[in-house]
Amino acid sequence: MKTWLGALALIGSAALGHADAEAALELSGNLDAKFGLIQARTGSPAYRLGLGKAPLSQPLTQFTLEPYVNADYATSQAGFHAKGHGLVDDDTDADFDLLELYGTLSPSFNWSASAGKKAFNWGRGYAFNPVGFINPAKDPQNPEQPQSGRLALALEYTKSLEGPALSALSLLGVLLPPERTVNGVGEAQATGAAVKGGALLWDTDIDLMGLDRGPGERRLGLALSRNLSTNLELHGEYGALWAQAEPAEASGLAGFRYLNSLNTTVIAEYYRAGSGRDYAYAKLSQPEPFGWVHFTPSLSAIVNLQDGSFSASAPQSYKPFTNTEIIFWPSVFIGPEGSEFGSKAFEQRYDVWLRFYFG
Amino acid sequence: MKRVFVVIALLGLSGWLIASPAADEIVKAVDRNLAPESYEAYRRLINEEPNGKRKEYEFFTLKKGKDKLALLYLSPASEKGRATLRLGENMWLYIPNVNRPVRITSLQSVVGGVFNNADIMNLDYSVEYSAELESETDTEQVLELKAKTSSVAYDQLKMWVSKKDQMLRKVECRGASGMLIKTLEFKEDRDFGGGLLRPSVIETHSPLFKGYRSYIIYKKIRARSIPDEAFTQQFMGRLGDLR
Repeated sequence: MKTWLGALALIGSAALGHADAEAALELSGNLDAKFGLIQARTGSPAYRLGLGKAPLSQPLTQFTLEPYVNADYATSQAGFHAKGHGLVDDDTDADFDLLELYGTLSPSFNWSASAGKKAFNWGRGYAFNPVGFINPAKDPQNPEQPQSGRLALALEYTKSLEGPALSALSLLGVLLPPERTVNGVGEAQATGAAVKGGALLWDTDIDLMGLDRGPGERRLGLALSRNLSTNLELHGEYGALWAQAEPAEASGLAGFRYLNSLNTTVIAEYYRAGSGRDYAYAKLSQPEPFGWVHFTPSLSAIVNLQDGSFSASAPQSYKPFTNTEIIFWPSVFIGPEGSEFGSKAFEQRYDVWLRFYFG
Repeated sequence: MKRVFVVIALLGLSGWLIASPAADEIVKAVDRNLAPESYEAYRRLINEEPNGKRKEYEFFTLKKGKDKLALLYLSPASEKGRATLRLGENMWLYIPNVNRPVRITSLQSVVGGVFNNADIMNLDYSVEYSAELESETDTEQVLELKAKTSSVAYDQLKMWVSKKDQMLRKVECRGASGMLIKTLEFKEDRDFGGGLLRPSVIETHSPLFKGYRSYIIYKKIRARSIPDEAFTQQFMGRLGDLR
């Protein structure tokens, strides 16, 4: 952690010496202090694998500190961006990950390039993204959590249009280094390429994407999103894995986002995974119900429609002061033995997060 | 008698037809007096609770032409880096951790309080409403505005405009049923330079949020030429580069 911060300071002081007098290194982020009370499912294989070797009485507790630190330096044409994440779960041990570290070059408003470790987020779905070919894996119960990026070289072209139907076009190309490396080197033929074309056509977001990592992994996808009315948005995705010139595996998603007159937001999605499993997802959130200021309760659930197991959580967010947030986050994982959510290591958990923002 | 009725109806109709274009021109003048057609602005939003507690937000706003608007949150730290983009009737929210814009509605409130996205990301009144002159006194004109489409946040507005300088003083926002949703008051005229003299404070209150008040304070606003590509989803993460 010290070495990383020291490197940031060096880069920052060097950057401040450059010609653009108004640019400065900006640090921002948040510290999450999390306390959890957990009822484990001691008979599950996941529990036995992770915690079974040291017999522990129930319930369990977990206390972690997770700092997220962002460093951004940007002029009108070039930038440097870093996002780090730490995990402290006991007095003697701390881990630090670099979630993102990349430079950007923007010679004009139409063109932009980036090189480094960057998190991409393709798709229009909320909890699931069948077309997220180069996305990091995300927790459907917490899709807004920062994720770790991947090494990539990207070039994007954007054009705004004044047509009655077509308002904007974009094209993004991404070069991906080989996934399998030995001492930092990999086979050149294993370099991957991904491309995403986007358009705003008849007030509809339309994205077409493709990934080529060789004959075993070629993917094509389509994502759409549109407002049907002032308070209803529809979205959908379709992604297919191609092998031997025909689709071998396909996944799809359809969902909506609805806002009612009471300011309740409902998000619901149906997801068909490439493995053949079907899921349903729903989330309700209600800012400041009954006049309870700064308080936003929500409720979400994911159901495996094949085996009937589900997970449900009800994060309750309270922001009494600027730059602080308190979240009470109960979650349950229910299902018959051998089912997806019924095999989780934890049966129930009750977390309290204290979040402090800075920057 | 029938002929009298027809004549009266025709006179009334012609009167309405004469008044509407004039009323529309008043609204256009109000829009031009409030802001240049393309501009950048720094604004502060203050939400005040009945107990006196306040939450403050700062935005950087870019607007171009009739229907392009982008907004970047500068503070507090919990909101910094978030951005909203409006293109006509389409609106998106960008959260830095998510790295992707998400479609939202104009009725949503990203920061809470009485103001919602439609208020913070509002287009010119003349773009979204057609107007009639309801009444006038020596000092002001009162206009009735009707939304041109059902996608506009407020179906009806009642607008008070000072005659002397065609400056907007007050707006009542109503739903389709005529129910009062909120009232905006435009105060504390200030010279922002470049020939722009306009109210620097918009105060709002709502019968739906009794005891709560919200204010938008214009700290800086100036005409600026902005490329169209700054108003695309791909640029939302880069809006800070234009400050």
